[in-house]
Amino acid sequence: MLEMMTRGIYVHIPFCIKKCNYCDFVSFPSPDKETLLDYLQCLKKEIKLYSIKYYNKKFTSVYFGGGTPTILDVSHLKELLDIIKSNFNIANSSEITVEANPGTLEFKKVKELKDAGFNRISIGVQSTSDKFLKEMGRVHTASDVKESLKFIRRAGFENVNVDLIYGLPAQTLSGWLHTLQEIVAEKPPHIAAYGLKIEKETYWGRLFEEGNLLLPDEDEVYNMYVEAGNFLKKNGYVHYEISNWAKPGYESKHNKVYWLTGEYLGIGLNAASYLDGTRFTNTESLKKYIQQIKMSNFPIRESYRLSKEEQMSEAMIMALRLREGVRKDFFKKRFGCFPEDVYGKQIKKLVKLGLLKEDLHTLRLTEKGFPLANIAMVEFV
Amino acid sequence: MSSNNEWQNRIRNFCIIAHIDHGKSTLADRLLQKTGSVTDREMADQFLDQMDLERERGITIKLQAVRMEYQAQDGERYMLNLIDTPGHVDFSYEVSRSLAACEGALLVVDAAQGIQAQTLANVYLALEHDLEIIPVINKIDLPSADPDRVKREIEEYIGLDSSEAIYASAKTGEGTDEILEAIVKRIPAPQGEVDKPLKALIFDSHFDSYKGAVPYIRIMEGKVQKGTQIKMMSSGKTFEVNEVGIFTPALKIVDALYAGQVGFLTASIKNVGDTRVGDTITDAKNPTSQPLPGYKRATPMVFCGLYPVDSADYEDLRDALERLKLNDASLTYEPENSIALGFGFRCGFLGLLHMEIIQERLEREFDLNLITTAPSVIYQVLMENGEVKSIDNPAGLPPAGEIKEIREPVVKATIMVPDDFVGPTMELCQERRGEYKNLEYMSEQRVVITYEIPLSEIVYDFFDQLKSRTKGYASLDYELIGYKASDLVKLDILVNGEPVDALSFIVHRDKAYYKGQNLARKLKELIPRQLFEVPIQAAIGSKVIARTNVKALRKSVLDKCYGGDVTRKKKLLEKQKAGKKRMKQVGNVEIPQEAFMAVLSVGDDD
Repeated sequence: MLEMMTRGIYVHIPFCIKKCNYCDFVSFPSPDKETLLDYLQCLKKEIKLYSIKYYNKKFTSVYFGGGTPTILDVSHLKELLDIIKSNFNIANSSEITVEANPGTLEFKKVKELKDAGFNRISIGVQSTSDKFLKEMGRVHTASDVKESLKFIRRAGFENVNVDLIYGLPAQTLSGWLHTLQEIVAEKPPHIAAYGLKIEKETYWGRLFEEGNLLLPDEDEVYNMYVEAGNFLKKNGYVHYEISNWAKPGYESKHNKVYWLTGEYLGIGLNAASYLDGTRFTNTESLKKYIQQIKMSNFPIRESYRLSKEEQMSEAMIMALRLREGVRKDFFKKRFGCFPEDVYGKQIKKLVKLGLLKEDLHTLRLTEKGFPLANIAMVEFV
Repeated sequence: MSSNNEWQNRIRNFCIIAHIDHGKSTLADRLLQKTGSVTDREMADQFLDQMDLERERGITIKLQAVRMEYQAQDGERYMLNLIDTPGHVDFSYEVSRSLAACEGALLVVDAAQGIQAQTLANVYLALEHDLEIIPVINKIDLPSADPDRVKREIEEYIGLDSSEAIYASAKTGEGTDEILEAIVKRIPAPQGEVDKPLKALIFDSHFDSYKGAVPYIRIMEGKVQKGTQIKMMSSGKTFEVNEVGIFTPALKIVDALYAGQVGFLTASIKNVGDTRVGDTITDAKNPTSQPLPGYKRATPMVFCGLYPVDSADYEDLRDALERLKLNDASLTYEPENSIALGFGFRCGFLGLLHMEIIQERLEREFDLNLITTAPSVIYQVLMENGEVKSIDNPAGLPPAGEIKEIREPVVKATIMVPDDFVGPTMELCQERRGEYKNLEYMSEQRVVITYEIPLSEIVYDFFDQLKSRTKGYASLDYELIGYKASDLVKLDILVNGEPVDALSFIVHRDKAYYKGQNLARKLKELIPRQLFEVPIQAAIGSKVIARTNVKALRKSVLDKCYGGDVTRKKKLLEKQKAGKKRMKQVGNVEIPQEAFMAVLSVGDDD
């Protein structure tokens, strides 16, 4: 029942030291001081614009993502967090996460983040091989990774996530497992591992189209996924979402809001919100964002009210990403009917294909179904 | 000789013979403009090609006719009837009927490319009809133009006097006046007595939803007007004429049409099948004794199965075919039933282009999502019991044990090519089981090669291969010459252990092994990975001759999915779902549309 009431706030910091070769997120190389301060002013104002509307909603997580939020001074991040806390109803037990890159951290800064009120840190490590890091265009090195994981712990952060990417050009299964070993040795309680996806509008996307990017084949990538799961399980991690593993009690509260199709408010450039059955997304243009906010307008580029059918469809698709799957009683409470009343035929078909498991209380992807999640989810579109 | 009326002397009926892209439509437009038949404003480029499809492909499929008034240098005003002709081998019968409606023809040849095979075939047809031929060497504005060489080709190879050939550029308008004058001076006026019983040739028709089938006619003798009881001589059916008219080019009603004239009539004819191209119309009350020569029913040469991807669209497909057939008597269709594809139609076409056009129109104009099976020809199967069966669908071939002999249609193929490419051309014909007949020099550098080749080999990708091996220089014409016994076998394809009837095809025994292997390999590329391993086999009877596997799909997942990209991820899933809809579920396996045509692209040299 607790999960039904979780609700998150997301703040987007769209700046990086430099853009990575595979990245197609809305982010820019660090701008001049003036633009940066302008943007911060706007974030603060946007928070205030929304607080009047949503003060009666209780939030249980705050997440600073990017880009690279830690490109900012901690004083700035603290200021933002304080304004959020004083303008919204933020539960005391809230999970408050900041994303960071190993290259932008030092012990002192991490300590300040802790003191500023952040209680979870998510590190974009991606790999522990200098060769791969360089090819990806990351700004940090393998030794930065190990060092930062150590002082993060020393600074008092218990709740740490490490982001990793597999299926890199010319990466082998054993190379990938070696990366995992090195990370697990540092004992972060949460690991997110993503298969590399080549996006068109990126440097690697262009290389790929020209035929100059040699990626591991489908079966090799599949093995990397399965073997990662086996290895992490052996080391005490629970595979609680398609791409996420955690020690018991360390699942990401904020991300579970998304997967359980709970409510969230997004602040900043291109941030998405889902509140009262409506999804709305901010503009992607930094210029427009600043202009709109300065005129006290909501900088929204797209707003869409989901029908009940769409809400049910999303509830199925998103919850199936979780190991715990779709809780039938939650579904019934929310929509007035059981999933099998709406999707009986699809459920039957997927169970027969061995992708879905149904019991009295839940619908879940099977071990075989996890890596084939799309095949299952398409049925609920 | 019949006595000509004064006005008859001022009529000229002519057509234009040209290879695709040699500028026929542009020239026709120029003539229309020059005679003021169409104003510049009305002139969407290339007026006579009315279908979008024609304009896109730059070819004329459907005949159109138009009347122009021309003030000649001799001071007289002339009525010029241009009957446009399609420039593709699939439609040679239509061309011959158009020619029969004319007294003369403009032979338009590209000044750079010279004579092409189909042009030659059509010139010979025109000569058979005793047409006066005016050579026009077009595109002289091109830097690569060599009009003198082309003139020699016409002279030496076709044997036409080309001393008065007109050099023209339809693009710039150069030569248009000379052409109009030549039409008046050199093409004879039509003959035919107005007082004789009606004899009119149908050279085309279209279907109008209010007026019914509208035959386009050339009156050879007699006259026709509102109220005339007409009879179609091939079927004996009679109708009463509602109206007669001419093409200006818009249809315009007139009081009557007389011998020598070109126009149309309406008579509440419900079915274009009753206005067959080449048929003779006469007066039911005062009939002529003899129909015009040369009528034959257009018979389909190429067949394929058309199936809706979504079986719920079956009725829509039937309606669409019915609608197209209203305007196209040469299209045939019959319900057919495939184990793999469900309910569909076996359709017959004049040739491959005709097939592609119909397919495209079904998908475009009727918004149907179709699966097309590989084209087949009609085989004659002599059974052990002496019976002869016609087979237009490989899946319908009787078991090998009951067959004494299989015969396949053979065509005479005429290929024109620069002599540098004789080697590759003959190699291709040889690979396609061609039998060499003749090789002749048309001019110093250009050669005419004649082969007898099984039609099925032409149907499979022959023209594309010919074009690619001759850098686009070759041109091809063919005509059916008969049937020949051949060592043919049926190759079956098994997907996941189940034979897929829609993938079966008939092939020469010597090529079966190799084609089977290539097709299996091709299917492996085309069929997406499924949740289980899918074996693909090629077999003759119970003997498997090739085998390959589509590996099982193991990973299909959107790794990252958080708040900001829910919408994007959902779109990806929707796209995936739409992709699934374009697949045909055969047994447990989803097979994409392209797979059913794969046999076409299995070349001889993969």
